[in-house]
Amino acid sequence: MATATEERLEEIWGEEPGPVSWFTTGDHKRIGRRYIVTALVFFLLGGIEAAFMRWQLAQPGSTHLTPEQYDELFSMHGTTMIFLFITPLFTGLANYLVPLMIGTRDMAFPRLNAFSYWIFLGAGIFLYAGFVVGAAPNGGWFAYPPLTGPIFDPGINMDIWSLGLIFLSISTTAGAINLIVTILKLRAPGMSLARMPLYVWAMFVTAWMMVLAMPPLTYANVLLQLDRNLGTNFFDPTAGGDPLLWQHLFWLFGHPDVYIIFLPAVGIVSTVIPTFSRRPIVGYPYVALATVLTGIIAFGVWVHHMFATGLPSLGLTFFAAASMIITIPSGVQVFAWLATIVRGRRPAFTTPFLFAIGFIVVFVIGGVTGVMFASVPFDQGVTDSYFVVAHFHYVLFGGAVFPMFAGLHYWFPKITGRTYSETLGRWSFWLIFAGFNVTFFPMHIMGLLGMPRRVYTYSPDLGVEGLNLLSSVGAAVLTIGIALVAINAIKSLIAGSKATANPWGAATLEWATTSPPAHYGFASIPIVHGRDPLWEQPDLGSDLTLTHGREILGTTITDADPEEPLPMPEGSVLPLVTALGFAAVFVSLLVGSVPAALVSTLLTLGLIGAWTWTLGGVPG
Amino acid sequence: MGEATVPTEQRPRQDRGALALAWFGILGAPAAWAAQLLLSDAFAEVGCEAGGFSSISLVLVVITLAALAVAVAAGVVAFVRLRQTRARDDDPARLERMRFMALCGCLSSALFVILIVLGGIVPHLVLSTCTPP
Amino acid sequence: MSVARVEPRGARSTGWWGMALFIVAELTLFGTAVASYLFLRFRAPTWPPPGVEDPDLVLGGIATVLLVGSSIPILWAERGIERGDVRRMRIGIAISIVLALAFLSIQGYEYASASFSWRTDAYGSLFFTILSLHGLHVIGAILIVSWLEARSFAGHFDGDHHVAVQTGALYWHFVDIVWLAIFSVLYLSPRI
Repeated sequence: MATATEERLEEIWGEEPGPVSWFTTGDHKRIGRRYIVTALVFFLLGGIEAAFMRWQLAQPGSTHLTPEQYDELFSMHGTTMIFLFITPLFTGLANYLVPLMIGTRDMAFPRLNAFSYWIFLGAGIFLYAGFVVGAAPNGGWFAYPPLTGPIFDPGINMDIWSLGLIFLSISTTAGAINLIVTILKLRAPGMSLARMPLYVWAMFVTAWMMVLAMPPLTYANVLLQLDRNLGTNFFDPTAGGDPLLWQHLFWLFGHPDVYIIFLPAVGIVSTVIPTFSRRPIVGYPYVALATVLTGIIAFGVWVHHMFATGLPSLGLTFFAAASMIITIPSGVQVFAWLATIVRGRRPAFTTPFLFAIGFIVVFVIGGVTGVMFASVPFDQGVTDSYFVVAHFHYVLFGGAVFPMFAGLHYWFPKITGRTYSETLGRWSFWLIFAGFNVTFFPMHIMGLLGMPRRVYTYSPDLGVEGLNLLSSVGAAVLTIGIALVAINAIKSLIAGSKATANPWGAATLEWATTSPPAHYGFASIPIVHGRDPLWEQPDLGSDLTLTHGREILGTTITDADPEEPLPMPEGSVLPLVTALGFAAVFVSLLVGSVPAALVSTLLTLGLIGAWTWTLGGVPG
Repeated sequence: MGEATVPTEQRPRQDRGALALAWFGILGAPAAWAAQLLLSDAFAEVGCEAGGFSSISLVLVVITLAALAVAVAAGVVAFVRLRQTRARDDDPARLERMRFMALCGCLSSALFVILIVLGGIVPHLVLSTCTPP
Repeated sequence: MSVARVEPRGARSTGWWGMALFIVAELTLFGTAVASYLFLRFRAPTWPPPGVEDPDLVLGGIATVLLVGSSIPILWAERGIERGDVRRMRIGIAISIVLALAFLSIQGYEYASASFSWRTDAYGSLFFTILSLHGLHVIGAILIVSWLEARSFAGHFDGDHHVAVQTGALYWHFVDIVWLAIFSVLYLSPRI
C-alpha cells in the first residue's frame, strides 16, 4: 500500500512506459541498465573475436584466417573489451548504484548522463562500422606509429579507430564529471567522507582518473589524425618528430586506464565480501586510502610499457620503483579482504562470493607476474611475448571480469526484482574459473618458450603447439561457463522468484529501496550515522521527503551537512539529438567532407545552446 | 534520530585552515612525488642526451631532496593533526572524519617518502649511467 | 529537519563543479600539448629548425595583453551581476568579446605570414596545432559568453540567479591563463 508521500513522489518522478520516455529519460536506473546491456553485447562481440583467434592459433600454420583478418580481429578484440565493454559496464553499474548508495534520487546531471550513453552507443557503432566496410581497425589497440601512420596504414581503418576513440572520450569524460559531482555534492546527510561506502570511494577515484587520463589519449589521437591526413610530422623522425612521442602519450593514458578498469572491481569486491562474511570490512580507512593511492601512483608508471625502447637507465629507475611500490596498496586491500573473510561469521558461499574469491586467486597470480615485469631486465626478456598476454589477461579478466560477474549476480535481485538460480550460478563459476585458467595459464609458458604476441600463426619448431591447443580448449570451456551465466540471467528474468528488498541482509543504502527501486528511489532522504547504515540503523527514515517538485538534496563535500534542495530537470530529447549531432561531426571527419563537418558542427553548437538556454539562471 | 539531524546553522563552522591542512597532509606527498618524477625524468632524458650523467646528477639529487622535504612535511602535519584531534570536538561525526583524514595523511606520506627515496636516491648509489639497459 | 530553499551559488552549485572539472580535463589536455612540444624540442639539435624564424614577440606580446586583459572586463561583469546590475554585465561581456576577437585577428595574421606550414617539420606541426587548439578554445569561450549575453536580454539573470555567468566566466579565465603557459613555451622558450 503506497503512502500519500510515495504516491506524490511517484507522480513527480514517475515515467510512462513507451517510446517517448525511452528516448527522453534521464533516470539513472534506466540509463545504468542500458549501459550494462549494451556493454554485454560488446562483451559478446569481443568474445567472438577471441574465439576466432583461438581457433586460428589452436594449430601451427593454420590458414583459417589471413594475416590481415587476424590483425583486425586482435585489434578489435582489445579495443572492444577495454573501451566498449568493461569500462562502460562499470560506468553503467555505477550510474545505477552510486545515487542509491549515497541516498539520493539521481545523478547530478541526468540529461548529461543520458547524453553520455548515446555517445557511447554511437562510438561503438562507429568503431564497428569498420567491419561493415571491410576496413576494421588493424593496428592493435595501442596503434603504434609509424605502422599506423599514413605510409604503412593508408586505408581508413585507423581513422575509424582514432576518430572513434575521440568520439568515445566525450562520453567517458562527461560520465566521469557527472559521477564526481554526484559523489561530492549529493551524499545523504551524515555520510561524511569517512563513512562513504568503499564502492563509492572506488568509483570516485576511478572518475578522477578518467578526467585526467582521457586527455592524453584524445591529444594523441588528434596528432595521429593530423599525421595521417594533414601531413604533420609529430611521429616522423625524418622531420623532427618521434614515434616515442606516441608511446608516451598513449601509455600516459593507457596505464591509468587499466586501473580505471580495476578500481571499480575493487569496489565491488569490497562490498560483496563483507556482506557474505556478515561483518564490516576489516580496515576500512586502509582500503579507502589504498584505492586513492593506487589511483595516484598509476599515473607515474607508464614508462614500464617502454622498458625495451632504448630510454636511458636512469629515467627508467623512477618508473620501475613506482611499478613495484604500486603493489603495496593492492596488497593491503587483499589482506583486508582475506581478514574480513577469516573473521567473518560462517561465510555464505553464494555465487557472488565465489566470484570474489576467484578474483582474489586470479588477480594475485596476475599481480605476481606484474611485479616481475617491474624489473627492467626481466621485462626486456619477455617483452612482446605471450608472457605479457598471460599477465594482462590474469589481471584484466581476473581483476575485472570476475568481480563483474560477482557484482552482476549480487545486484541482480535489486536491479531486476528477480532471484537467479544459485545452482546454475555455481556451475557457471566453476566452468569459468577452470576454463579461464586452462586458457591463459599455458600462455606464461608459451611466452617463456619464445612465442611472440600479435602473430597470426607460429612455427611447430617452437614446441608450443600442444600448449596452444590446450589454451583453445580452455577457451571453449570458458565460453560454456559464460553461456551458463547468460542462460541463468534469462531464465531468472522470465521465471525467477520475486526478490525482497534486501535478500542478502546487506548494509548499504541501495538495499533500503524496493527491488527494483521505485522511480523516486527513496521516499525520504536517509540520514546516515555510520559506514554500514542498514546494519547500524534499523529505522532509517527521516522527514526529508522533498515533495515540492523534482528535487534532491545538496550537501557539503567533506561532512555531507545539508545545504539546499536542488531542482532536477524533466526528461528531454536533447541529449539524444545532441549526441546525433556529434555523431554527424565525426562521420563527416571520417569521410573527409569539410562542408558536412562545418554544418554538423554548427548544428551541434545550436543544440548545445538550446540545452543550456535554461541552465543556471532565473528558474521558470 | 541522532546528532546528524542538527540543522546547518547550529553546527560548528567549518574551519577552513584545518581543512586545508588536512588535504595537504593527504595530497602533499603525492604532489611532491609527481613533481620529482616529472622533473627528474625530464632532466634525465634531456641531460643524458646532452651531457651524460655527471652533468645532471646534482640536479637530480636536489630535486629528490626537495620532494622529500615536502613529503616529510606533509606527513608531520598529518601526524600532528592525528594526535590533536582527540575528544576535543563535541561533534563525533566531524571528529571521525578529521581523524580519518589525518590517518590517511600519515599513511599516504609514509608510502610516498619510501617511493621518493626508492626512485631518487637508490639509483644514484647503485646505477649512475645514462646508457640504455 | 528543515532545509531552506535558497538558490545555490558559486561553489555550492553542481553546475559550477561541473565546469571546474571540465576545466581540469582541459588543463590536462593543454598540459599534454605543452609537454609534447618540450619533448620534441629537446630532441632537436636546433630549435626552431634552420630556416624558420623565431615567433614574433611583439605580435605575441600584444596578443597576450589583449587576451589576458580581457579577463578584467569579465571579472567586472561578474561582480556586476552579483549585485544585480545586468547592464554592467552586458557591457563587460561585450568588451571582452571585442578584445578576444582582436586576439584572434592577430593569430590569423601570424598564420598567414608564417614562412613555414604544419607540413614543413615537427616544429611547424607543433606551432600550428597547439595555437589552433587554443584558438578553438577562444572561439568556444566567445560563443559561451555571447550566449550569456543573449540570455541576459531574455531576463535570465539577476542578483540571486546567475550561476551560468559564474561558470562562463570561469571558463573565460581558464582560456586566458592557459594562453600564458602557451605563450611562454611557444614564443619565449625558443630564445632560451
